[in-house]
Amino acid sequence: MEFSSYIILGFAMAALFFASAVWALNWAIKNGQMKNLDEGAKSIFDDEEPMGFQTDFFPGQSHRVISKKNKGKATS
Amino acid sequence: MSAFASFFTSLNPYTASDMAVREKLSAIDRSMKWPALLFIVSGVLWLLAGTVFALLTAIKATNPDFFGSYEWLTFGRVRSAHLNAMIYGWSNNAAFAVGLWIMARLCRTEIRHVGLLIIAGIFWNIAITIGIVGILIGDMTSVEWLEMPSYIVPLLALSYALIGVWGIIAFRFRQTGHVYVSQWYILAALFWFPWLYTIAQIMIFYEPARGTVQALTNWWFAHNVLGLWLTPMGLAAAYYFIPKVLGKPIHSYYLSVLGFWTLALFYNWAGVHHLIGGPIPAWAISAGIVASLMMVIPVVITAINHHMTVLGNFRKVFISPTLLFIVFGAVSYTLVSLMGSTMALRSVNEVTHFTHFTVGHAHHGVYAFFTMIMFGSIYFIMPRLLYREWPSSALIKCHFWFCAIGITIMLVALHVGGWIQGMQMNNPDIPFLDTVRATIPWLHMRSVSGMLLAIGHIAFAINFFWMVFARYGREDTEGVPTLLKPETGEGDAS
Repeated sequence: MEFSSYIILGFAMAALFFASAVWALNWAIKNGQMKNLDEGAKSIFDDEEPMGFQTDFFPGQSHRVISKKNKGKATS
Repeated sequence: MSAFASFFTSLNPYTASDMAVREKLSAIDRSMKWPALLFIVSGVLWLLAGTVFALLTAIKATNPDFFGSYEWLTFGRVRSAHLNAMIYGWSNNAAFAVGLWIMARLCRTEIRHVGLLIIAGIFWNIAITIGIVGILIGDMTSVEWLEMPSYIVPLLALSYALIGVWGIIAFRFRQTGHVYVSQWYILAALFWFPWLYTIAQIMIFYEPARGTVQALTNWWFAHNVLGLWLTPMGLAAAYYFIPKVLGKPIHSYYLSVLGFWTLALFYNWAGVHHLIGGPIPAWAISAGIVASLMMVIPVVITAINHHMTVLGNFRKVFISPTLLFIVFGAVSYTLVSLMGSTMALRSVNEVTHFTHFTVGHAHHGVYAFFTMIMFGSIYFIMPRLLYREWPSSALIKCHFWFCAIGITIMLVALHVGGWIQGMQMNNPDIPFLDTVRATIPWLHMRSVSGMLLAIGHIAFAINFFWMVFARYGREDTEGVPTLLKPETGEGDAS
């Protein structure tokens, strides 16, 4: 194949890529993914690892942190 | 105040009545246990192998005679072995583990057919092993980022397909209405990587395009492996773990969604900037430069989001291994991307092209950003997979500080050294050999930084395998590890 036909083929693949992104964006909007974004942001939290609590510590450190935090809470 | 307290009590799993939800979540984690372990164990082994290749390469750059009498350890081969071990061995294995685990968790569904996933993972790693051996014995191709010999490509592609598909199927079975931004990134990346890989393989090796179109395809592929595979996986992890560990939603969720879609639309075109000044149509290069600058939009959006979420919580960052690594990675993402956009400008590229600056930039992206985020993610995931704590706090700190300082030294050395090299090469009064000699001190500095990174990796590997093997069979006897205990403040507070 000639250079120009490869360029066109490459451009077609890139355009297809772009089109697939546009299609997915369209789906997302129609599906209501862009509504209620505040709720969406909280979808990573659950009962086991709830909002408002840090969930990762250096090994053995969480006790110290917890007791400090509780002291603060008790006095406030 | 009491309303505030009761609000948190209502979120406390030990007072919540919804046992079914908790059981389901641990079932999801359990479904990923063996595949994630397989991918992370292989990833860590590849990381160590890649580090050895990296040190050999770095030392050979200043002392060419070092192991110079073995033809399978010549510079060209170990350099490519290093690149492929790090990208396909370490990065891909880590991305598989972290990406699929986050996907399963956010979809609130188990990963299906883990048996097939594990078999595919084993074949993926066998294929990489054959590929790296192929590179060392001299079967490598001359195409950067695709050096593994062609005979291993079908196995790689097939194993990838059987790994990636389970992430997509988990998405199909998702139990949640809302698709979180990390899910978008992972889903897109799982589609993008096979697209890039197969098209690059076909247009370069199986049905080779003529002339410079091969170079175009090559750089479209190589840049997009970073931009459309590793970057989305890294950002997905950052968008999940930063708010998750802090226990606070992302600064602006609207911006994060906008960031994803602008990345999806612009990044694909950016790779051409590697060929600035090359013999390809000027319009193609200009399009690449425009796209590279457009990338400033998603980068600034992501930067605002990540940094504003962390702002004011630095104390929490320093008590969490996950955040320590991921915040380092997020800061690096901002820096590396803005520098990348600048490097795409013709006037800047005139200096940085063909110098160590580019090498520094690649390490900035794949190591300081992606790898650091993967380390952080692994620190979060492993205790939840094994129900066991990391054995040593000191080794985690050792890992972080050696890697953080090591990579910083490397980036300074390669960027400063590379810039000087570029200025000298553009000056016709300086003989070429002098420009090469001037890089030697910087290359020594890089070797030293590589040794620091190696120490960090060894600390990580010791801690990791200690965790996996040492207390084997004793899980559950001591109950839940402290770091998994929710902050109830009851029972365990002294």
